[in-house]
Amino acid sequence: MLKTDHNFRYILPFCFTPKFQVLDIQTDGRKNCFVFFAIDSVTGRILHYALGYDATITETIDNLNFIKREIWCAPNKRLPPLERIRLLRSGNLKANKCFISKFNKNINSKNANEAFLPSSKLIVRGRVPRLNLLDFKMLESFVIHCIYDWPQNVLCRIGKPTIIAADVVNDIVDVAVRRVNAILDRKPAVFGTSTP
Amino acid sequence: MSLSYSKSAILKPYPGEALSSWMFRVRELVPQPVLYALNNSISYGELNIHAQHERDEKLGALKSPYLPSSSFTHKPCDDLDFCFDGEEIQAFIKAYALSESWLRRVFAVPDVPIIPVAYRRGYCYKCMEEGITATGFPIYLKSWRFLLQPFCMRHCCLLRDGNDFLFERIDFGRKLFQQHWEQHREQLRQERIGEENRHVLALGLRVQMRLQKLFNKSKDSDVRHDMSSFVTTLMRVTLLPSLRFCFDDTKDITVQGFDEGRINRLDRIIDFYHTVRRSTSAARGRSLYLIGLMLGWINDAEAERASITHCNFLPTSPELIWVNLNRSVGASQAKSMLKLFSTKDLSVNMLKGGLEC
Repeated sequence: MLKTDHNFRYILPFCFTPKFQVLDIQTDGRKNCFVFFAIDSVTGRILHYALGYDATITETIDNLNFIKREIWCAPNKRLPPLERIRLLRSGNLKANKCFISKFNKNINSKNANEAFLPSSKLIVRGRVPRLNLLDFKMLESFVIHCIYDWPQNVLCRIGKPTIIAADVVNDIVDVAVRRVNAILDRKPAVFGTSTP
Repeated sequence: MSLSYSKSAILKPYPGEALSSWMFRVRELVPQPVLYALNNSISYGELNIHAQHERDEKLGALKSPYLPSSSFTHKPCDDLDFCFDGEEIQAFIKAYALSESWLRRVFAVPDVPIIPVAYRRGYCYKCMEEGITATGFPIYLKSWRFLLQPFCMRHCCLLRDGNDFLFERIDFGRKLFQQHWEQHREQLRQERIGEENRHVLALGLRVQMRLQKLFNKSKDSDVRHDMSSFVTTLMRVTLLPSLRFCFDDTKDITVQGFDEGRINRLDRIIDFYHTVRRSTSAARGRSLYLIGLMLGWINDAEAERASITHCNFLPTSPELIWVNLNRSVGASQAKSMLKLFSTKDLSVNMLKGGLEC
């Protein structure tokens, strides 16, 4: 599983759910795996549960609107239909800030399995560095790119691109995180935005 | 009977040979080295329990999983060309007492986009003939799996595509060669297409050579990686559905593989990223032509001269390409990536004609 360490220092308040099918070692069956992608201190935790054989789920996530919807981390919940899962990123930066900080707090103070973020508690608080300095459209595209543009060490372990072993999914996300961080270090200007 | 085996008996790899090809040759010509070595070093009667155990272990490593099964295939996921940590390669190293670092150095994976093992099928027949002359085997070269090299740089010709279902054969090179002769009609078809497209393909080859020069010139690995990502993204763009008409004269633009049924149901993003990896040499050759147009490396007059004989449906100017691309769904993300991977030598600013960023 991915480590939750300080390497994930960039804050990307969006989640990503590729249609990976993961081989479940315990049941030897296939399951859909949803990867939530948010590179910050929460990321590792989210990914940890997302990449567990039961994925982290955000219910009614087809239209991610933090003000109206509820989000929780529930490894053992049933998986929603694939059609309802889309690329997730709120255009509302305030909501994003709130989500990240509140969720972080929540997940730290409680058992992560029960972490729950009721919409009523969404208040715009919390300090999120760098958030406004990033061009999310570009960043989003790049994360998608990193998730799917598999490096050779991943490719050579994949027979069918639609059925991927859980450890390979971990590696894909791990590599993607490193690539995103590396590119942000190397080419920060490309992700810059004039919005304050 | 005493059998002799020494490491000097191991064959030298042919220049550019893929690891799988070399492994096959070694096994064919120097089979069961551990058995030979054991016979040579100690008689069976003198083995103590520990030595017996060690011998059995070595023999086990030799026989399983390395020795070919009845179907003569390796596991679909094992990439015997580039995945050095794979079970079979490790068993091979152990069986022949090879240095892993030497193996990694000689058969190194270059920092270029690679075609996954499940979709490998390109080959140059002339290179294979040369391989037979030099070694007695139809050598399989690792460069045939480089995504951005659909043309043989040595013979300046488009790679042929073999059967979809050979990829997991241990004797992949030999099978390709045999199939080349068995499927005479298919070869005639590919020859005809090659002949009709020769002018377009020549321009594609020119683009490939120019790209290779750029890659070789760059000393910085990050920059080289950006450049290959830039070109791969352009190739993906040319394979978007809105430009599929550019490939309609070829029978297949993608390798069927064993998961065709599944892959057709994939979503747009996966399709965008995976089509290029499954594409045939012919499709990638055509794609390089389109990339040359977009980069302005092929001018309109050259394109018109090339396409007039057979491919008169092909775009002959970058504007005609972007007209179709700008209304394509996947194009916007590709544009972001092109911007991100821009370098001094290959930049989004170099793209000619109507790119709407």
